[in-house]
Amino acid sequence: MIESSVVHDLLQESMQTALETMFFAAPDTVSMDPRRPAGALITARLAFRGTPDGWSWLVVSDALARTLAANFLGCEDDALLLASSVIDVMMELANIMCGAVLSRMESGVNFDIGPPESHPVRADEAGPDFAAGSACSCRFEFPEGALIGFLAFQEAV
Amino acid sequence: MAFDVLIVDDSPAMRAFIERVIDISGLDVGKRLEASNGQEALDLLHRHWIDIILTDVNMPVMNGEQFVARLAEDEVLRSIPVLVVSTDGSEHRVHRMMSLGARAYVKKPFSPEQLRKTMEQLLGVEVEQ
Repeated sequence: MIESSVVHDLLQESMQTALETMFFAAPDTVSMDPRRPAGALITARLAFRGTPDGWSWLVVSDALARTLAANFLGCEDDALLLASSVIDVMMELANIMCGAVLSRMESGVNFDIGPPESHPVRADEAGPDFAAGSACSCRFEFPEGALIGFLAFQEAV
Repeated sequence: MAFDVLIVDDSPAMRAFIERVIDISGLDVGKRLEASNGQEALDLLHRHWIDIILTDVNMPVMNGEQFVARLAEDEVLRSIPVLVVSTDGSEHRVHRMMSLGARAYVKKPFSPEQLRKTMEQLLGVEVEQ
């Protein structure tokens, strides 16, 4: 059984490293606040099989998703980005986040990570309950909005 | 001498990121070819000579393990250095890919500098920064 505090630390470290090294972005604050960010969102969900099975959500404010995608792709004007490109980049970030946590959590175990699925959530739409059943969450606040990573396992940690 | 590069990844965003890293690396890169899975990559490799391959592991149609195994079976293609770039950094996966014939493994997340240095080692060159 894995301590949830260990998973949280791995989630925070993995997300922060990804944001700094591949998205060239440093958050203003980091917390465990799982509340939905205000406004429209881009979400990405993926499931993994291993010991144990589980799933991961990435929830990002729409404006922040555009900024991060522009940084990742080297696009100087995020207004030029296609919505599909922003979604592709957020799915890749979800994949990186989940893979990095699982690899560090159980380096001797083979996990299979499924393909990410993404869909936008309008500002006036309730959207899925991202935090339901999550073992842990990690929230990064930026001037453009918030990014939250959730990780859950089918057996309690 | 310019090096021709093949990037194999099912994520268009990741292919674009790697291409951008290569662009700013200072490496003398010629052709940049892209494939979204191992089978597409093999088709390209039968038409173009490539100096280095960067490949993901988890891909549809033909995954990275199957792709690297197919390269190792080919008397010509087995000489091309393969660098694995993957989110799956488990010891099991790294060991498996290296035993199949990959020459290096970079785990995501990675810095542009880390990817550049690994490519330099595989190509036997050094870029002055």
